[in-house]
Amino acid sequence: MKKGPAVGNAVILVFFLFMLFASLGLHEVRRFGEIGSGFWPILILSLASILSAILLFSSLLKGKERGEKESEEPPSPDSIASRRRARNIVILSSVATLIYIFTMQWVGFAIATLLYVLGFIIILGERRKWVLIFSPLLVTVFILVVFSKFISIPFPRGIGVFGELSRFFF
Amino acid sequence: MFEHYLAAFAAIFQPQNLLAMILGGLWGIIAGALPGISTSMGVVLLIPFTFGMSPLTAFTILVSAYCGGITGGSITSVLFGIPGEPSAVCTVIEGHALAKQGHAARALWIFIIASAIGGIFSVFVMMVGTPLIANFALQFGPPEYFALTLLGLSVVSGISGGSVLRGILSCLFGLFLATVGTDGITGVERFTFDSIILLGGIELVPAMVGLLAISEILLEAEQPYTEYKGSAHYRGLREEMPTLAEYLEHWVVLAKSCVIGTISGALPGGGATIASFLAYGEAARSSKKPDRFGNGAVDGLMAAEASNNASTGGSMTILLSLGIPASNTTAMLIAAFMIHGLQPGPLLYSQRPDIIFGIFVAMLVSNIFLVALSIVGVRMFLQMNRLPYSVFSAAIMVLCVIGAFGLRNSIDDLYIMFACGIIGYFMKKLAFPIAPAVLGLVLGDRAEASLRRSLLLSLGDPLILVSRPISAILLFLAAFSIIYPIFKKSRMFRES
Repeated sequence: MKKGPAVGNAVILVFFLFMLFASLGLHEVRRFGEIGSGFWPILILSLASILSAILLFSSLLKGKERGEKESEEPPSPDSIASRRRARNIVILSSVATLIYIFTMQWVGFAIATLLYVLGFIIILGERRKWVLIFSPLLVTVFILVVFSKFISIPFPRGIGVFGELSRFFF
Repeated sequence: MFEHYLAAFAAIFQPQNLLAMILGGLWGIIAGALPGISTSMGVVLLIPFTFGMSPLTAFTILVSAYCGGITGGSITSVLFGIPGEPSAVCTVIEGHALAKQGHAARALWIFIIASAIGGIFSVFVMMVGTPLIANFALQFGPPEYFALTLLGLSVVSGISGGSVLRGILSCLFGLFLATVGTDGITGVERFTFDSIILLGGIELVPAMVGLLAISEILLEAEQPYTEYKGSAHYRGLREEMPTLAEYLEHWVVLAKSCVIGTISGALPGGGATIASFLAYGEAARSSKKPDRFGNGAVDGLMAAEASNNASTGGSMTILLSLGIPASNTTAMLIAAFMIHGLQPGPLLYSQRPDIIFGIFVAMLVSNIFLVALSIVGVRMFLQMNRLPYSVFSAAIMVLCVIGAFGLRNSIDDLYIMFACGIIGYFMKKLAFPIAPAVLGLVLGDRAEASLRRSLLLSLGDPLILVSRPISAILLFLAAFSIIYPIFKKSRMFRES
């Protein structure tokens, strides 16, 4: 039996139940004659909890049926390796994006973008030297010209030496 | 009314609006043509860049991107056999079959012209239909608006893909997200957990960019990218231009498909995909040579393309007259209206005729422009295909960041975008459709406010929702729209 969907659906149920519990305190927050702040969230979250319980139950049932039908063949080493590779790419891409967002205010948009594009294409498996050298530069310059010069979005410049450096570009 | 049209034409032909139309159309074509970027995602990515524009210029660029996206979805379908949009699946069947027979340019011409015919037809329907429906909707009070919003939310069964249950759960999640932040009526903080980032609520644009775009890039990154393998023989557009007689030969198919597309686009849960399948099916059913279908039938290609483009006018009619989205992309457009301080619906028609008539004219002109833009798009896409996928992905990721940041120039919005991106990724992994969540997020505030106002009017009596005739009818339609697909699905399941 595949545990993934059932675990996912269980997490969803727990999430909605937790939020429902959190919304119960809102129910009585209202002025005379008004419908309280908790009325709508409780309505939505109750319905969501019931439906996610049904989904969890049906996924458990389906998983059990499938488990009984399918023979217990272990996955091939190739498929395990490719699944692991895919998972690593997603984790690394997400971490890179989070670091990009976090560091943008300190090192400035231009430098952060340059490094992020380089890092992101390496994570995606790009190894050609000319792509690694030119594409981060071209993407960063293009974006700065279009969005900073023409559309005037006030990108973060960074602080200290990075701020001074950013002033050269935008 | 005539003077409104004259003013709208004068405004649309201003250089900045013409430029917006061209850029929007081209971007729409690119977004629609590339697998992994849908029309709705293309429109979402554009919304942040419209902040500094006047509302008319903003909607000119957005509706052009909408029309361009539906058209562009067929370019990769014909050339490479990859549907850029779900609505282009029928185009793959007939268009790519023609391309493989050595008639790619002919297939491209047929889809470009049929798309323009479908789009222009639906704009005329929109011009006539919107004022009629909007005048009727002026009688609406809070209960009717709540019922109308529920009808809007009921499209969830149509945009859920495989599982309606997952679609409804996704929609409820979107409705929940819309409650986060300070309650506008009582001033109470809801689900903020003492976080300053969440105090102002979840902004639409960062959330939409995260749920739709970031999640998709992460999902695409998982798979080792395979280059497009087009087996089409592209000989140049000039050599294979079809004659007028070929279109006239299939005028009945074209006319039927335009009507099917417009009606389907206007129905909650309809949209371009259902429109193209319905029209394609009808063309196959009524064809004298049904055996050609699947092997490059010109009438099949025309039907699919005229109908999916005609759906844009149908969806926009309902959006502009009632303020409810009939498709994914029009749900995104509601967010754009809100960002520009406008509320689509009957009042907009009387309060801001410049915007409404401007949108009519912009859609009409952009459908004409799209003939030329599609030709540019075909040539451009053949070149763009050489760009390494990794670089393209990174550029889109940076565009997402700029889009979310540009709203309020706030880093906090980027964290919301990132969180929504991760949530969207797991939703997709667990086969939850994203569009219903966006729909819930967009309509959530309005649904809650109108329900609370209705109950305030009736001193807490919920019967007010069903005791007024229009509200009762709308609620019935909403219930029907949710229950019917479930009933139909279970019947099909039993039969099979």
